[in-house]
Amino acid sequence: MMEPLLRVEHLAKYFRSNAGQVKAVDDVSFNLYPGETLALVGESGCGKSTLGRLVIRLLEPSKGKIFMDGVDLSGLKGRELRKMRSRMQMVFQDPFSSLDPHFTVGEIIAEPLRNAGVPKEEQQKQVLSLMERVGLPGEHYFRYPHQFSGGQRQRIGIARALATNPKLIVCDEPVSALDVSIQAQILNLLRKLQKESHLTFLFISHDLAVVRYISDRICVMFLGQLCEICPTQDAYEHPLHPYTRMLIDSAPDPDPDVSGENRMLLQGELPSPVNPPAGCRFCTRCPYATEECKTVRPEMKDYGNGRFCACHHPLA
Amino acid sequence: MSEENLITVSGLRTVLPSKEGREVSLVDGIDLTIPGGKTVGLVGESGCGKSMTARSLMRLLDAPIYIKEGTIQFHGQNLASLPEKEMRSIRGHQISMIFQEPMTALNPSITVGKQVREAILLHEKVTRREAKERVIQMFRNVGIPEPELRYRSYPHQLSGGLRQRICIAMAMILEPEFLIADEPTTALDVTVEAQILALMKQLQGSHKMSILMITHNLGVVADICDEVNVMYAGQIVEHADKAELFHHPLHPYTLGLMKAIPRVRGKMEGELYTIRGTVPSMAQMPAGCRFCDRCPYATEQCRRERPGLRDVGGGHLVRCFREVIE
Repeated sequence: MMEPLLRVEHLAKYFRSNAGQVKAVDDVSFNLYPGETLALVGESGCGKSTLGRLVIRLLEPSKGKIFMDGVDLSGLKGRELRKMRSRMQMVFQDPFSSLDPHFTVGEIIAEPLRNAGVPKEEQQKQVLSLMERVGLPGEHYFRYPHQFSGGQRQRIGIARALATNPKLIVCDEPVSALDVSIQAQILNLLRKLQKESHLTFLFISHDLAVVRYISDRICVMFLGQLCEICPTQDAYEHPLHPYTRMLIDSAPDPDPDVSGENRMLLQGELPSPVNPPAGCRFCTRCPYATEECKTVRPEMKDYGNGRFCACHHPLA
Repeated sequence: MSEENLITVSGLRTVLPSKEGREVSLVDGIDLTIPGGKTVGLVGESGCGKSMTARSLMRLLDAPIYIKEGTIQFHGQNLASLPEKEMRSIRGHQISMIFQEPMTALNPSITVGKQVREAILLHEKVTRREAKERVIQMFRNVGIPEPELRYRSYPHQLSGGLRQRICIAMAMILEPEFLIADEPTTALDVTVEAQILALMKQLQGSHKMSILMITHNLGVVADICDEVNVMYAGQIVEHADKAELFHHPLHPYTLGLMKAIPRVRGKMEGELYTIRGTVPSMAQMPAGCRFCDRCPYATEQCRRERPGLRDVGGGHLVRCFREVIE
């Protein structure tokens, strides 16, 4: 078995709100292997972005541990943490607000290099090579972000994330703000970069079609907890958790013959994250829920071939 | 094409005058028919003019944008030139609209029940109590749980899905003949999107209204529409029945879009197809076909001449010079 690049153990993040404590991420464990794309999917508010931010320590966890290459990140401070951070980067959803409008493209991409103490002459050389790798013409070096379209801005964001030669990139909805024709360009770019540099992606998305295209494995999240982790193909063809099935079934497909009757659709509303159901968090919306589900939290069980599911009544 | 058309739009041109005296056409000569009781899709990417088309039909254009040419026929009236006062009695009553972002479409300082009741009181002479009862009944019809309780809620107390249901209730309360839905599910989760689309289909069945569905999502089109119009850079580039469009897309832009979308179901192999380049700016359109710079089939003719919409049979229209290879 390959050693994981990232090991997340019993990670939790609690926020205080007026209504009470919100367990945005509640006891989440998973491994991320080198060179793979692990997708993190779920509805808005399920905690997937919080989890992404915890992983690269933009947020401090309330509980739990994260190991990268065997090193416990939660114990790191100052210089050690900065060094570790240069090996993990983030690409954000909104290419309009994640780039500083006062800096030129060259300066934006060079910033992580400057922070890492790369000499000035070397910086420019590296920036130009980064721009080439993400498909930006070198003559755009002195332009400002507002002179670019959404797709090109996302390329700038990706070039910046690649600058420090990271191993892990957390992509938080990187194509959600883009039009379909541009989305395909960025997805193909990410795949190409991954192959070239053996990158590992944690790919956060609500778009199940995009996830199917880009990911090797998938983590399904509901109200702060993981329901299922499995190879992507298994999730789409024979999911174990009812929520996985319903999430995938609700996605509309651009095919008039498929949009059919066999789809299992979710009813009702998301339960309150302040006061989630005591047992399985999905039990109020699950057609298979029993008394056990209402009181006993299901444990994550191993079903073999890399499939894990937390459910008392799995589908297969 | 035998059904009665509820709305017939011909040659609609909506322009934005610029300082130098030039005009930018945001909607550039659109012909559109909405048959009674059908759902017609208007698909395209950001900036293609699909929302501008909707706003033109509703006459909700922000100055200085205005309708320069064209007619919008609705029950023997031309909405494009109707005085604002008369338009006001049609808007919300016979034609209504739902928007992408339900939070900004609702007034945050008034309870949702009162907002919907207001629509009835504006157009009809009924008592407040009768109006309230109708609102609660409509809330029930659009699947809002505990409608009496929700009547007194403020928009911020509701989830995105419930807010959109409120907006749909507001649009439906006067039983319009024509509903314009501008990306009604784009801001919602897929699970809620599926619920809202099912609701719209059900309401259309029970109220026999026509819907113009504006969306960038071909999955939504496949789910809900009867006919589809594909828009690119201010023009309609292809029009066909849903099945025809998905099975035999003809315009290179439509073809490109379909190949560029990853699928949730079915086979998926290899790299995603990409449409090279980006949409031309409205102010600097190519002289010939507007898609020619991005089109893999473009010829000299495409760069010189503007293709018109031509019928290739069975009401399938395409704005392209390319001969169809069967």
